[in-house]
Amino acid sequence: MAVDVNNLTEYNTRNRRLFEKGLTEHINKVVERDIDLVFNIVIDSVYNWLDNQSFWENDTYNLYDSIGFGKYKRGVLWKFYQDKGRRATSDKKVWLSKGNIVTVNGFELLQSAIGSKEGGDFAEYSLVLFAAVPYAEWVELSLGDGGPNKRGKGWWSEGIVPYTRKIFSDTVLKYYG
Amino acid sequence: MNISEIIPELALKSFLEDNDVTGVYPAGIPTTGATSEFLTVSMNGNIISESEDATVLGCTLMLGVYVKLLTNGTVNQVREKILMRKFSELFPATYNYEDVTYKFSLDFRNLVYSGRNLYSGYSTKALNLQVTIY
Repeated sequence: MAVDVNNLTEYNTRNRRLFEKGLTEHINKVVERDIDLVFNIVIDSVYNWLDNQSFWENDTYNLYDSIGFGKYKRGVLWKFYQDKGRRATSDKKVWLSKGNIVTVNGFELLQSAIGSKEGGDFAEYSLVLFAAVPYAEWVELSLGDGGPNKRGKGWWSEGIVPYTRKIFSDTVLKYYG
Repeated sequence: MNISEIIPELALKSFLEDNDVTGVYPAGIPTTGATSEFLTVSMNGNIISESEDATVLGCTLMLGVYVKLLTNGTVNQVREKILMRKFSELFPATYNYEDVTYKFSLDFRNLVYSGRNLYSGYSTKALNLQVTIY
């Protein structure tokens, strides 16, 4: 049986287009749904973990309130998450240089994180963890008035970040490993 | 078309104001004097080229809709619905701003955020708006 080369080329081209179309739809629907599932498990786990951290209990909770997660797709924020309710009963007062005092509201500061230019444009899909209060870094480095026990030191670099990373990799391995 | 001259936030603000939607803040939430409802417009991601010769650009804007809570602390769903209905009538839309054409389309299927925890005394709905620029 003779095969018409031109027809075969057209046939292959058509098949390639169909394959590409199907693959794109698969990525958009199935893969995205799976990624979203992993992101949701990570977010829930981190908030559950935060609830059990004793060093949060006696604080103002403004740091807790300022924590949020952003889901990014190609650098565009498509979902933003925050804990279900406000924990802080009042704003946190922060002393700045020259005796200036500012009040910090963790919830409202998180607003500024939405649409942040620092968002997750480093991957096709990204999960970004925010902590928006200015003294989050002071607590992390123990530059503030954390007392002799340096309470909260390393809360970010040795606490929430490695925990989030671990939960992420554990979840991926559990469902897709 | 020079990409540095493209300011989608201001184009959207102008479009909304031309359609009698006021209280639009392209530079973030107001620190004082917030009215009973207001809107924020911010870039969500970067402006990208959608054609090889960069004559067609694209970006995503995020529209934040803030409505003051009722005196009993609950969400003013009536006002929220009225505003959402208004947006569903306005978009998709094509608008010319400073000799540049902007095509806006609002994605109602996916709310980026919906709740009342972002700004004291207000509920918030955040939506993504796809912008094509040419």
